[in-house]
Amino acid sequence: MKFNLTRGVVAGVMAFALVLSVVAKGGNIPPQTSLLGALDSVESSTLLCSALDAGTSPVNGVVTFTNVSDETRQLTATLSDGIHMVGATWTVAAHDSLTVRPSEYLTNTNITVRAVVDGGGVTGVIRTTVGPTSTVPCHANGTSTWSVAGLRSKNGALARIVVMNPTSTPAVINVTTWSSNGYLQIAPYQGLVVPPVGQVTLNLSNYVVEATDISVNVNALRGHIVATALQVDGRNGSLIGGQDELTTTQWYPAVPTDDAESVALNVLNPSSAPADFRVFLDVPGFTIAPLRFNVPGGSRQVVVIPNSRIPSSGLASLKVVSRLPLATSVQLTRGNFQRIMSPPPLANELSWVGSAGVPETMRLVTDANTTVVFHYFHGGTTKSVSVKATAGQALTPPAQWRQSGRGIVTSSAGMALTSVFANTAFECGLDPRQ
Amino acid sequence: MDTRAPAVVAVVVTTGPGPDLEVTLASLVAQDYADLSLLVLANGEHPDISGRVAAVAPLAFVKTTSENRGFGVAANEVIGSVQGAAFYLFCHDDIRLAPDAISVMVEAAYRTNSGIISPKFVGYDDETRLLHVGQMLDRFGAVVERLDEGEIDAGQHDAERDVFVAPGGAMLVRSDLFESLGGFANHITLIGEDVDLCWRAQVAGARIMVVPAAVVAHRQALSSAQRVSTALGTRRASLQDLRRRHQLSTVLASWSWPSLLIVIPMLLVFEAAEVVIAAAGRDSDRVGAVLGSWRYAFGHRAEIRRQRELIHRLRALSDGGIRLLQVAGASRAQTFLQNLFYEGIDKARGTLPPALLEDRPVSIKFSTSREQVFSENPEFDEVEGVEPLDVSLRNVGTGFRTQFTVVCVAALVWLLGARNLIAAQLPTIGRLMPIDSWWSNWHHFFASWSPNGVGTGVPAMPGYAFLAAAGTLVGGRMGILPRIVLILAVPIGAYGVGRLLRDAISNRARLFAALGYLALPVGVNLVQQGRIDLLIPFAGLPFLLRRIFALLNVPKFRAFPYEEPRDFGSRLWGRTRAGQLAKTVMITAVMTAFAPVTLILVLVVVLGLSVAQRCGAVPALERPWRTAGQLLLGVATLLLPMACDVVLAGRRGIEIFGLPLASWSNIDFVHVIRTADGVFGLGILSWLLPIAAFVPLVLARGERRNLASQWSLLFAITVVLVLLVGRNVTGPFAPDVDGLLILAALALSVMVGVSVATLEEDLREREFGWPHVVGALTAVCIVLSPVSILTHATDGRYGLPQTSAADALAAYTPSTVGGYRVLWLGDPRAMPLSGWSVAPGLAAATSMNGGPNGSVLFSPPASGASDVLLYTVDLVTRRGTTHAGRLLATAGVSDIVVLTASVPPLAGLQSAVPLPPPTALVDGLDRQADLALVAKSSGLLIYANKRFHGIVGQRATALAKGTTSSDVDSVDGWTPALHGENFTGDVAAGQVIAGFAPANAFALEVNGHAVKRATVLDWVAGYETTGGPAQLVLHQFPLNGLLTLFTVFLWLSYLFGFGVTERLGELMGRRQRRVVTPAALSASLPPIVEELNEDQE
Repeated sequence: MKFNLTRGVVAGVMAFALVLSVVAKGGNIPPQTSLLGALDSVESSTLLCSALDAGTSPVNGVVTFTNVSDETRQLTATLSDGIHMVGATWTVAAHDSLTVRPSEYLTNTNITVRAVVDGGGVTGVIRTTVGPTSTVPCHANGTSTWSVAGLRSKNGALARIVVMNPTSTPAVINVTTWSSNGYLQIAPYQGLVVPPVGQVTLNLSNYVVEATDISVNVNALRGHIVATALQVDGRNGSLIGGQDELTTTQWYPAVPTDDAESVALNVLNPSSAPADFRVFLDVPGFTIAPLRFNVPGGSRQVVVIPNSRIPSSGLASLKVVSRLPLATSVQLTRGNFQRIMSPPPLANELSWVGSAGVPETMRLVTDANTTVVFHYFHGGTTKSVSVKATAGQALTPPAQWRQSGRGIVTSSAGMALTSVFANTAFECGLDPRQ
Repeated sequence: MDTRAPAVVAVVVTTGPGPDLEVTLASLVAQDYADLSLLVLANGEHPDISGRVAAVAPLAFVKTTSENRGFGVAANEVIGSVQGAAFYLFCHDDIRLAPDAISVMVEAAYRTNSGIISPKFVGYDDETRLLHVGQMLDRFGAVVERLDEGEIDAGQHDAERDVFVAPGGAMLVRSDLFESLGGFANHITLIGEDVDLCWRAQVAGARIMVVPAAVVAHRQALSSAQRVSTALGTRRASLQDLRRRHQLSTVLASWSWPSLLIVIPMLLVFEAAEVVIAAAGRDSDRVGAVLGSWRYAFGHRAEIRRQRELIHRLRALSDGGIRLLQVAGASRAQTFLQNLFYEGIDKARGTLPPALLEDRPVSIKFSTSREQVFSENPEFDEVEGVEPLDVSLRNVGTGFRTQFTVVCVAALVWLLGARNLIAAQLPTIGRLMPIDSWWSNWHHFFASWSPNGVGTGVPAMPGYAFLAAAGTLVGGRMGILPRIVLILAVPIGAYGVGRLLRDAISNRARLFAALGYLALPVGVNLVQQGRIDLLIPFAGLPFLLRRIFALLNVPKFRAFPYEEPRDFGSRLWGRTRAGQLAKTVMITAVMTAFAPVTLILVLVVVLGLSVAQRCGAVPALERPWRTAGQLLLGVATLLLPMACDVVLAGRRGIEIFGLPLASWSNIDFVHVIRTADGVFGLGILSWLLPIAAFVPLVLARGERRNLASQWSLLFAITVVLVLLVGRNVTGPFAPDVDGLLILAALALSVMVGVSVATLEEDLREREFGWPHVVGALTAVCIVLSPVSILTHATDGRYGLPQTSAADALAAYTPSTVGGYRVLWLGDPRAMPLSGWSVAPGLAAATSMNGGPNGSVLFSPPASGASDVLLYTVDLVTRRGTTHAGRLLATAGVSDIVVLTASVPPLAGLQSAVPLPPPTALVDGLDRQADLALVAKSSGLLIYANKRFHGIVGQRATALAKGTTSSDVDSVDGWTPALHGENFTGDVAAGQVIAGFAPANAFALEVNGHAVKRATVLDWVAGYETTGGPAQLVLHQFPLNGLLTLFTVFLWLSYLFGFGVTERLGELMGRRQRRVVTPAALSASLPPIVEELNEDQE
């Protein structure tokens, strides 16, 4: 009996050890940073806003910084066009916004803003003010790979990419393109060095000539980058945020379904294997069967979403699902006017700033059933409104949140938020702080 | 008679009676060679030698020497005595040549252009047996025969070929070659003169051939002990003595110096091993022969030197060319190993009694006919008079001699495996940073300030005191201390396992337990990781546990009954329980000073035994927890500075035992159960011991069952604790897992010993069945397990890397002015120095002005102002800053080294264990705007701080009040100031800051006067100065020194307890010439002395 007891104890302890070894093993993954939770413990943050032009360029615009923290923040900014550099110091009061126009500091093209904030809780957004409104968020961090789909250089269109290096480590990048002209690795853009805390501009139109549906992958062999694509089409300009990583699921919360507009999906499959993907359209009150497509390996494809499937004068949410990671963009065409929208990345916390008078409609989707909390500022206090969200179904933020002009939205599930300005849809300037 | 044949002079050297001389001469006379002359050299006095020669060979010349100085000296008489000969045929006087032998050899000499020709030697009485067909040589001068002993001549060796040595019975030498070689070596009297001559001939470029068509029968009367040597200086020497001494002298004379630098160390190693093995086998002749050879070489160094000069003049072939002519390897060692594997240790060491050889039934097989071999008669196999050999496992390895041999072989293998640790440069990994001088270590122990982190004023860790004491013992040669630990800790630990189990199990079982401790991967992994701090408990834990088991009165572990309580200081106090406890406390304290995890091991042992007691596996223990408490209290007292550090550290105090690991660490069950946490122990062999260790739980009975239960519980509890720590379940309480694995390995090795004891005692009492199958498998596992030692030992340094991240930085000096710090970040197990925890799986530490050095060997658990570094790193991992460089600049951090593996892996040179830090760390560092990634490899990343301005910096304008290190202004405008270890130099007017904590511990003296100090940037000392020659001076009240002095006093008090007081009292009494009465003397005698007196009465 005693012998059995000892053996039993030993066996039990060893079994516990085995279970412990298997069950309690964690993964070495970066922590999910929380905008609200980190506010008090952030010593400094940096916003990298790329890029705007001066003068009459359709991508002339402003940068708006929003302070969602409870303290005044000081921004030490450096503006650069790749040749010249000027400094500035700005202050943003708590729960307030500050809009600056870079063209007042520099008069060239491709002006970037690098703002060092003496704490956390400040987000930034670039918005074009000449021609149709277009916005992209400022970035708080760099990435090692970046992709965009749907650029063009046909009929005099100009496509360029501004790449910033946010760190003191020289970044080395390789640029690969796929377009209607085929696959191309532009020789001058192989092993291209982005200087520490500097920037370079990739003029794609000079190398990928008279092409449509240009997909680009920028791979940082060393260091980190922040990139933004600028598409200038006559007097129309677009800022395109691109994707920091290729994903298998992409959300477009708000896609206009106006009869006058056509919607196309640009898809890039940089892997060597062919990728099957499905497109889910969600329109409130309608049931639409998923569309199935296939894109060969190492190529790009344009999928036109048939108008017959989309009810007119509404907003649909669109989800692209594939087994292989893809880069996508939605291209909206109204007459001669074309705009491109990259999928906003999913995040648990988003901040939002209004478009300064431009009419806009917002849609938010979540990737799981959850409760979404909208925080907004009113009279020096923070108020919250909770809304239940169903996975994949777009919801409209509460009116008081939208009317406050700026706010934060949080949930335990991944969220994507898009605003539609007037009749076209673009990223609305939300910074998920990734 | 004039002939066209070249003249040959046959030189027959005869010694003593020479019974075969006539036969030799007759065979020479019968030669069919045309121009042959005979010269008989009579060595020493030979009555009637002329008559004997004349009777057989009347034309022979006879020359007599006055004394027998050996074959070579006599043969050398031909130089100067003989003229006109083309060849000399040197002959022994116990040979018989075939009639055509000389003509065949001369013909072959011309045909092959050879300098020396050797015939085929066959047996004198049985010419079908081959003796020699030329010989080969290895680099150590050992002769290698080209045929097996007693080989039948079937023409298999009848091809002419080059050989290295022409054996001495009969050799044809070209006369001019012989004269240019200077003849035989004069100092070689007997045995080996042929080897020496042939080596010189090879060096001179002469060819040596064996011509089997020339046949010579040789009695080998001398080497077969049919005759006794009468040469001068050989009468008291055995043939073995002569062979060894002449081999050595030939080797020393023939190789050039560069080759000797390689050959002599190898020879020393082989001969040391041979001496050990021979001593174990009580083969004193061999020991004497080996040792005598070196003595002889030293005594004849003048002759050897002359030989070297001669060879130098002769040299036509380089040593490399000579090596190509020799056989590879060490033939003697190969022969030993072959004999060991095929015929056993007794045969291998050469002491198998001849009688046994004769009686072995194997010899019968040679004499049987083919029909008998294939006979179906069952009686054929039964040989009358031959007892069956006792091959029972029960008796294998039970003898002292065998066990001693096994121990010697294991020790030899271990030392061979550690050969490159003796002199090779040690990498800066683990705790292998360069140790400061013994005096500096004393200084560190008493110092009021230490440079860990950004500096701290807490008491120094007591490990410095023990290091300084050890350094004092070795005469200040601190460099050998880590080597001693690396090489000897594991064998000492294995020896300790044997001591631990004394009286508990059989000697054979103890031996296997010790081998198990040696073979388990913990020890070699600690060596591979340079963890000399943990190797100390690895060596000492078995001894410590023996004492703890004795204190707790675990059966079989208390070697002697404790004395009744006595006064502290009396002689027998050490034999009381209190005295034993005090000794245990002191041993524990020493081990804890180097590895605080030792205390956890003690507690785990007490816990395990308590559980075992509850389970009935051990009878009532003697106050286990009270004893544990006393141990802890005693250790805390003896390590008072460390105890103070723990108290001062607050919540970080618990980190004294180890830093938390991340939940994704590679500490997995399958590794822990094999005690593997490193590059060793991941193969299939590492499963053998754990499998064998658990067998007693099933098969053992009685005491062995209890023993197995105790240690298996200890093992299981340790495994769980390791996994709890490895999965970060225990939070900040994270005892060093490698330290915990020491206890697991010890438990496992003890269980292996118990397993052997079980096979010895319990298995035979069972009826044959599955237990025997299990037992057989267990035995196989145990016997095979030591093979893993061989696999570990191949590189001669147990995988210890040749270089490290710190070594790579050794030549990197970002600033010669102002000083700089390197911030080390990584998994606690990857760090080359001790530090503090930032997050689970992430530790931080700093080194100043280069890589880790002896001043940061031990790190106090209190981080103090170094929290500013830890906080910054934490911010980085949480993406809470993009300007870590600015935050670290105030501490003078110039570079950040992130370690991602145990060492930088180099393909084919050194292997590493990936120990990735939290991904958020690298992710965060990559995002910093003022850190530049300057180097990246698979083992480390190095970031340079773009805002670095030296530990000591100056600028013209003072910092505004309230400026923090987050402000841009905090790093602008600074230039490094002051230089050297003492931080001296000129400063300009303005502000000087010094990144040393605590700020109030340092004063800046400018023009000999201390300037006003203020704390700036939250923790940094700032000085406003008008400029001039300056020096940074430490001004700290020596409170730490007083505390450490008190600690030294406590140690001395403990030591006084063991009878020193009484002895001192007696000494004082003797000086005072006190009159001691017999009654008083009797009363003062301890009881044991009284008992002795009674016995004598």
